[in-house]
Amino acid sequence: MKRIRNSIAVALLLAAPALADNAQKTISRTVDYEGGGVTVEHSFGSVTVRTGSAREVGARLRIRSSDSEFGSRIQLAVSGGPSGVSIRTVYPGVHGRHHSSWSAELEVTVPARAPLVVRNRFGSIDAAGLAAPSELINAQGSIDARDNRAAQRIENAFGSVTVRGGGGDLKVQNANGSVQIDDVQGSVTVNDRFGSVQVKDAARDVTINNTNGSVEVSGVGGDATITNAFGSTRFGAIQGDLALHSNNGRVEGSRVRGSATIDGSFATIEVRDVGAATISNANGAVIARDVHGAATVHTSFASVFLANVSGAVAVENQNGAISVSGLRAPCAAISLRTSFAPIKIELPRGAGYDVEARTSFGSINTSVPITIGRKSENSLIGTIANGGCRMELVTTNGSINLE
Amino acid sequence: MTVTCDTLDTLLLEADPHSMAMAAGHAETCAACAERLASWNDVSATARGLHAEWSSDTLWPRIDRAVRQEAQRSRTRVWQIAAAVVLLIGIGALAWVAHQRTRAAAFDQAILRSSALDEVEKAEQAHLAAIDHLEKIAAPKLDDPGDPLLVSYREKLMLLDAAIAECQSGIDQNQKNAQLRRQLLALYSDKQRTLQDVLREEVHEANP
Repeated sequence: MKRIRNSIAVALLLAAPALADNAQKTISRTVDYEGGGVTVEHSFGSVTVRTGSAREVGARLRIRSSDSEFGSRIQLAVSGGPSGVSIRTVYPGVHGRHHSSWSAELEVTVPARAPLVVRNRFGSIDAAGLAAPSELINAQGSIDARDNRAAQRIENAFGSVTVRGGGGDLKVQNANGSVQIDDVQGSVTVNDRFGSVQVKDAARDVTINNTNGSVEVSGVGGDATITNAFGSTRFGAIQGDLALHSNNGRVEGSRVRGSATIDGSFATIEVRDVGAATISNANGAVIARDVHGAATVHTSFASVFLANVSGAVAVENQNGAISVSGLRAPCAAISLRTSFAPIKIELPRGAGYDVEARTSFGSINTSVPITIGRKSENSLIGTIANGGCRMELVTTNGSINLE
Repeated sequence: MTVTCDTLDTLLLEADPHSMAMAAGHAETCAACAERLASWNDVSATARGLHAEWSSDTLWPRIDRAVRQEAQRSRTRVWQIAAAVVLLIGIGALAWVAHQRTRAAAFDQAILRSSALDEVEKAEQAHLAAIDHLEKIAAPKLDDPGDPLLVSYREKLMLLDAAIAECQSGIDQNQKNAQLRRQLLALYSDKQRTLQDVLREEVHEANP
């Protein structure tokens, strides 16, 4: 028995440091829900929202404080009426540097059909299962929204935003935090500045505006509109059209069922398996493969590589080479223009073109039989097969090769 | 007593010497009963031949041992119950301690203790020193940003400074709040990374 007594004493001694200095209390409130929205205002701790009874709103505040007297003065103000329910955490007035420290976790249970607004500071927001429109607004804390079936507006400043399984339209605004969205049935609009944005499986249109963070979009049921400045952009599996503007980040993507209109400046743009491609770049290369419509490319100081284009091809370059191969259409207009670089084009068998090739300081070489109409040292006008489609190949200081 | 053929079986079943003598007397006068008596004697003789006796030296010790074991088992059961009670109390105490420790750990996750606060403040100071150093090197580039990327970095740094100030003001009120401290460290890390990116951009431009 003495041994047992000793063991218990040891156990209590072990527990003693853990118990010291812990002031914790929990406040619970419940009010009837008579309609209207539910508004939650909190700070210095997490907010968790779950759905429950259709007739009442519950709130539970777990307070932890280094000072039990201060902790006891933290209040949970809950009021309700026909216009809605308000839940607010009230801290005692603190002026200047303060020696007590505290944290409060708020758990709220709302009717699924009640519209919800949550505002928090310095703590996370976690909301799941909502069936009415919601607004989740945070600063300096993460936001996690799961399986919310109605429209959502999410605003954060310096924390991550994660949305999984949304039913309605989704609007997300962030400044310096990552945004991750997965499986949303409505349209998605994301505005961020310096965080990464990832959108996966959105059933309708997706619009993303970012400045200096990476953007990744895949599985879009509608159109995708993406604006990015200095981060890389990747896209895939877009059922509608793609409109993408990127200033200084690499662009890479595939599988756009509609047309892809891409505008860049200083980095490579590479696309594959798109309906039609209209690409404008300045100092970056353009690579496009498996274009099922027309390909229109403009760049200035980098190469253009096009392969397997089914429609017309128009490339305007300045200081970069142009290479076109695997043309699929037997007859589609081709216009390739550059200034200080070569042009190379591989033609499909049996294709008929009216060719006009010009270069100022280079040669024109062809391994394709051409019926020459007029030829000089730097120009060639002729017909391939029976002609019919216009082909214009123009460079100033480079060779032209037809294969 | 007059012995008849009917009472012969009764005498044979009694089998004492007097009954057997009376049965033998009657058999002398009755041939049928004489035959029955002879058969009876044959069975008796055979049965006597089949009788066997054996003795076991270990029987009693075994019984004795079993009885002792039974007694011991009873005592063991008492001890087992006692041990179970002690174990239950022990588990209960451990569960209580574990609960308190979990509670304390949750508390520590929310409110930093003094030792943890010291560590966090040291980490913050290290970040601040690194940031200060990087800011001095990056200042010429940021004061006169030549390209849009550097303008963007400068905007980001301003945004981070505003967030750091907001966080710092929260910490002034709520010094040991772990979320605030974590957030401030994350902001410092982000600022440090951004300044490093600015410097990398400078190196990139110098060595295209």
